[in-house]
Amino acid sequence: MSQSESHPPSRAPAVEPRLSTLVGDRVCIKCSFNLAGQPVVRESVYGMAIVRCPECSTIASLQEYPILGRWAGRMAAAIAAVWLLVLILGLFATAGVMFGMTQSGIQTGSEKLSNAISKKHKEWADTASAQETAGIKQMFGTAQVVTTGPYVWIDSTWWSKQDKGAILAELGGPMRAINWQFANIYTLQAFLAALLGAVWSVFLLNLKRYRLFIFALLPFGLAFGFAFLANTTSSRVGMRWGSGAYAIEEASAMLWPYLVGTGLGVGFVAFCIGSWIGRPLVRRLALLLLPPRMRASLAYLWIAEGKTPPRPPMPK
Amino acid sequence: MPLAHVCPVCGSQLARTRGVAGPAGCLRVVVCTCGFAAVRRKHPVVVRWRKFRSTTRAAAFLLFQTLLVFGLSVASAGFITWFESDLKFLDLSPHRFVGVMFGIPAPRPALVERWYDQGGVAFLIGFGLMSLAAGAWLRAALAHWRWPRPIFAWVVLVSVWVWFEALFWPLTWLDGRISGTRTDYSGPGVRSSLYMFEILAASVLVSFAASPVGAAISGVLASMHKRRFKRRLTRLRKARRGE
Repeated sequence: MSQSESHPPSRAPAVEPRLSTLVGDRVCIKCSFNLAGQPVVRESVYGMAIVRCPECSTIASLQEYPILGRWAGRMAAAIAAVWLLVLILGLFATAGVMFGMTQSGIQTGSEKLSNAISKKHKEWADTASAQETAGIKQMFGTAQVVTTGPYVWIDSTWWSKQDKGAILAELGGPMRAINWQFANIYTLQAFLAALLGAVWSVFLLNLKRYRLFIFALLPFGLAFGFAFLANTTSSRVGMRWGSGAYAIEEASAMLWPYLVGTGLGVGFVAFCIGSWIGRPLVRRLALLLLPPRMRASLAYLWIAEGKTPPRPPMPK
Repeated sequence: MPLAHVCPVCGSQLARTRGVAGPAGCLRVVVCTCGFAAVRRKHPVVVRWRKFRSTTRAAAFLLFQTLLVFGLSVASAGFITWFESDLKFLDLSPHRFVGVMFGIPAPRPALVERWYDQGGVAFLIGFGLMSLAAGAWLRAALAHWRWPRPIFAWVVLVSVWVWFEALFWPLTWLDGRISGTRTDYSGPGVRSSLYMFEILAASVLVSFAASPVGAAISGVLASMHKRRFKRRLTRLRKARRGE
């Protein structure tokens, strides 16, 4: 029996529900025509998925795996959901770490200005009348002595009458009013951001590396949002008690845009650098630390970027 | 009944037909009596689960190795700098300390006595054990490296941690300039560096001595892997024969 007799061109049934389109190359077993792009239909007799060759009408069977029940699909959906949840939580954790370090930098960076504010406040308290310092006496009693330092309570009535711009100008502008020791914190923040960038670049292997820079806007945008909420005057009510606030709170309310901008800017650049070098670094580590047998399991690290995975050495 | 493997040309059942190595080498091809050939495939659920398991295992092993290389090298550097500062306190050089251990009188014997009393022996044993562990690990876990390259890489890595302060001094200086704080050089001097180099060399010698242990561990692990693979192959062959 010849091959053509064994596969008579089938008549197209009236209704063949179209399932999909064949993706990838597959040649017709009779005429070798490339079936790529042909519709995948379900034949009416057995309900099998088939592709019909447009040249010779020969049916090409498609391999269909038996469904393992509904639980396989449910498990796959659950795993995908858990992974998505992990990524979202990771996003918030990254934003949280960056926000926390920036806040720490704000506290350190505002110390110089807060000292200047508390000194001015002390000068005023030493010369003010009893009526003017009634707020302080009400808060702390008559025995309380007004001192200087970042964590000194500042009377809000006095503070509201001060020219904030003039205090900054006295210190030589905002950049000179900042205690630059916050650079130590931001160095650590840069290191952490680079590490997180490297981790994210491996987690998001489906993204091209330059797109990771766009992704970086997400955690840093979130961190900026947190910082904005935490530092704008309207939300600092919790930091106030009685009719005043700590000198450092007033100082950081003035300096936070500069310090947040510097901290998150440094973090963003470090995150981008980390995400750029993260994948090559992990690939290098895999080559150095994993035996060749295990490297094959991580071949996607290479394939995702269009590189050839390392070949195991030929046995001698 | 295995998953259906029916010839799409003649309809013969190919489930029991043995797959042969195809022209691509790594693909197992099943050839029907009618001449139709197809690649033997496994069910995607099985394949995906195995891939997931092997990927997580490899990723976990990579993480473990990275943490271990970091931990061991930092611990080694810590022991070296700690020992160097102790020797400075005892007014001894490393080679002189070895002499003192073998009975040569120390310049300040009371201090040496006190150092021993305050856990000096335990410190030396800990340092030695850690160097031995590092040597065994270098040989066993980095068996795919040509020996003695791991030892050279180890020396470089530990040296980076030991002289970290000196290497990154320009960065510290820059940080000090930005923050307006006085940052004097606080890294190791020439004499300290020479002492630390001597201690590092001694530690590497101990690690080198432990490398045969690592080679033995590596050999045992490789033979265990081979034995497991052979057992699996035998089981599969038996299943194919229907035993």
